Amino acid sequence: MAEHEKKDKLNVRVLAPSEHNPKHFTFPGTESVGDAATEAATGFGLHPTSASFERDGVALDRTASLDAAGVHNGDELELVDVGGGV
Amino acid sequence: MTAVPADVSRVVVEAEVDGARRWAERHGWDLALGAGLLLDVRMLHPADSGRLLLRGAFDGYRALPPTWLFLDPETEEMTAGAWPSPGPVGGQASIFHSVGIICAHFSRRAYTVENGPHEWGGLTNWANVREGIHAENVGEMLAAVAAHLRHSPGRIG
Repeated sequence: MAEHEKKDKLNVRVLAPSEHNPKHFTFPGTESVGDAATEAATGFGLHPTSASFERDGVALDRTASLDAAGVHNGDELELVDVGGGV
Repeated sequence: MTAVPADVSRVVVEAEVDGARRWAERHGWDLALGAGLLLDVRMLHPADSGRLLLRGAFDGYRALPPTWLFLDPETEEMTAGAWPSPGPVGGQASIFHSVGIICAHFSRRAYTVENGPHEWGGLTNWANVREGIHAENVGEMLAAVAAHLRHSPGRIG
């Protein structure tokens, strides 16, 4: 059970545009990108309206699960708000 | 325009710009905070690799949002050629509407008191606005501009 849980968890480094240092987060691979990014943003004291992660300059689909978005254990992700203009 | 002393705004802006420097390095953007609470941000347009100059004016910050303008990097004048054109951002509107306005809550010129299209409770309510892309500090504002710049097909003029 412990091994199964370990496999299902993703440990990632998250960068925020307003901070020098990354923070480490652990998310279930089944969690949505948007929910995980919102949780990470809260950890940085931020309040985006449409939080997502960027990897290599590409914003991940915030409705997809981390697994489906191709996030792997040890990845470095950058917080981004993918909201539109008004 | 506001009761926030310039030296208070300066301290806040310096701290936020410092916080944004790692982000700027990662993305190849150059930040230069000069006199008069002006922040010059230089980057390349992803669509044409040409130079862009984004200037933020932070008088009254954080009581008031900054004024953000794209300027010609040579003449420092606001021209259509200096301004990114709008492109759809994941099916949403761009924050680049027209020359002179970044249309987002963190942009002073988006507000009706500055002849922009949005009331949003007035300038001093800027940090509480929850409509469209959201940014509460310099790093987040630059990241928001970068996110929309990636979808800009070119220049307005």
